[in-house]
Amino acid sequence: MFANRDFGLLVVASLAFFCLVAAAAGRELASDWRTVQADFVRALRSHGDFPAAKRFQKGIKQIWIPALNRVDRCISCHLNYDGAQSARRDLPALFLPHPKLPFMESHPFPRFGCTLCHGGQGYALAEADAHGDVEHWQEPLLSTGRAKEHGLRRFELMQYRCNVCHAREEATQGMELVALGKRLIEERGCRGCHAIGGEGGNVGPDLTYEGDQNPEHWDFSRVDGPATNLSWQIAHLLDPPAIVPGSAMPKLGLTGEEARAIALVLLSWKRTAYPAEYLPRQGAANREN
Amino acid sequence: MREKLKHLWRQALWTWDPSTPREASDAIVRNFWLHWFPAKIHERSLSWGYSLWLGTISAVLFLILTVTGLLLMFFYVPSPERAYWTIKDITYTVSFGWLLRNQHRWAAHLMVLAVFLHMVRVFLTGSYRQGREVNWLVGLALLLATLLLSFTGYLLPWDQLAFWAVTVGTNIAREAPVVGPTIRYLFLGGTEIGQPALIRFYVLHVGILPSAVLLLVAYHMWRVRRDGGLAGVEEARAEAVKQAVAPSPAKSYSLFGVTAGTSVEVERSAELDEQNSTFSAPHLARRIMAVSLVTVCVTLLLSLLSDAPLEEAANPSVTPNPAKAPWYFLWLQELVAITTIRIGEWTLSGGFIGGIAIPGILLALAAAWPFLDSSPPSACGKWWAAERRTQNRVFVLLMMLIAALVVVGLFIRGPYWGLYLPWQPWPPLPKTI
Repeated sequence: MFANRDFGLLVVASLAFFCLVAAAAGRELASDWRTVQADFVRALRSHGDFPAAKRFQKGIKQIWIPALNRVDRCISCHLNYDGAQSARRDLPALFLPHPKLPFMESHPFPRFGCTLCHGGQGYALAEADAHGDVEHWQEPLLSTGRAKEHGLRRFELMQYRCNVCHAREEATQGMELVALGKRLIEERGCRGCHAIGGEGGNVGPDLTYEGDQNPEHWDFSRVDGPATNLSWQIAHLLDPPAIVPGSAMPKLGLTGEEARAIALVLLSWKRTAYPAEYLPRQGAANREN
Repeated sequence: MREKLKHLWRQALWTWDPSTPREASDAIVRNFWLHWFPAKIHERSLSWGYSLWLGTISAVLFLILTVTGLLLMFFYVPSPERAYWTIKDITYTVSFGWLLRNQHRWAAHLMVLAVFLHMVRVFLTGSYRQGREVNWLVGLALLLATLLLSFTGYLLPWDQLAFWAVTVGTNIAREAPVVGPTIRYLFLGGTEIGQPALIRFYVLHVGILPSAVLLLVAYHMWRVRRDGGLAGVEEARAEAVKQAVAPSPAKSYSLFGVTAGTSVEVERSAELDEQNSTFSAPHLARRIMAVSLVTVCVTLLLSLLSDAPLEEAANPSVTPNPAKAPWYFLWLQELVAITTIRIGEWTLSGGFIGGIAIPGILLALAAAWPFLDSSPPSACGKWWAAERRTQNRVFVLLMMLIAALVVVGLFIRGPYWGLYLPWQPWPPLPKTI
């Protein structure tokens, strides 16, 4: 009396199970990094670099830096980042090596990785997650588009990352906008009201770790542009009472560039625990460091 | 030719039909996987509509959770520095790690739901009587263990969601009179959520609570078998005893015929006759296989459709607004919010009334109810028995109230615990410093 209907259900459930397992396997195999690595091999072949295609080993690749407690898996897709895979320079942009910038020699990949300078989610392997364009990731990739949203160019936006370590230097080569910000902070006497690193007044809030502010703490209702810490800081520096009604902070008459420069410096003031050997040596500020 | 095709078809599908009752009984006794089933089973215990198979579904979900949980244990590290990042690793780099985590999460949510619905079914059919009172109490203990398992697992990802949900949950526990703060201290291993709390929750989650559930489930199932199957067989038994066939003089029911009368075993199996029962092999075995497979499929489907959330790493200095307890505790949080009275600057916390008194009374009532229910035995094991109409209605009303509070807490509460309909935007949050 039970046999036939139950048997049918069992067959249907088994088929459904088979399909679902196949779907799960499909999702696993269709992950971004696998697709990109397949593309990479194809690109190498189509550009005639057969030895490189043969040499290439598929798999998740990462730069693991225990000293910084960081894992950067960016290189699972940006496969030729150091030019070691292929010397060809006509590959698609994704597979071209990182440009050789003057400070690259003192910041080698195995010691510094990628996200320390570029932002992004080093743990992730899917594109959107890795580039940090997702909810619940506070350090997105510092892309050209993101810089543009804040009225900056990419190399300017990235200077705030440099300054997380180079904060104690007056001026560093390649960090011109941040240097302007630092000079303005001294000239305009911010310390008259704000404590910075235990030094300064107590009229306004302590700014020592201003870069760690959670954007959820800001009121963005009067800020144009993206709801980010940086965008709030720029708008606030340009016209404090317009952003925080009743603020005691006066309008400083800054130009847009000056406000952006100071905001970048503020953003770089973060609580960090980098080992001493990672911090720039004193007096080395004006060398290529 | 037709016979041959039929034979091939049967071979291809590998079906097996016992040809004699003896073979069917033997299949149960001889097979390791089947030996815990009875040889014959009452059709009522096998019916879809009577039990809805919620107990089996809960057990299968527990099995899924054990398997996925054991695999996750190979990757997870219970430390505040590493926990969050090992979850990232599981999500992104472990092969099928995303599936393990999604399935573990969905099975956990579903298990809370299935165990709760199982309890509702048992109450509405009045199945906690006729010697099944103790098993009802064991069932309540299993419900509590399930909630605790889910709650302790909630903290382990160590993200903002985990941290603040457990903060809300343990703050409610603190409101218990006299012992509240001590209980909270015992759970957290301190006064705030940190490494001691994480390791305690972890040990409870992967060791103590699953073992407790395993033992309790074993007893729960053993009791069901001892009681002759699901509630309702009592009726058949009473019927059979009434028609009491005189013991056959040809059979020796007692020890070598030396003692008088029939043994318990004869009466116990009296409810099973040719009309109302069937062999467990293959009918029960097949149904359990089908239910298990469907349950696994549902968790797989949900895991493919929706990923387990992982917010920012836990940060004690940034409180999300609103901070919500896990959904199955949201009705308590909602009760706390409702019973908190503010008059001017005075606040009377609802923590005790909403968080402790009301759930405590409900739990005590649930535990005492089988002993207070005075409906006739004929109302046992029947959906919506006329004799139990009032208590069933009150029970359904209470359960619907709890469900309504959960829905309000889950979908309608916004910043500062204000009410926002799903399509109403939340206000931009003002600066808090």
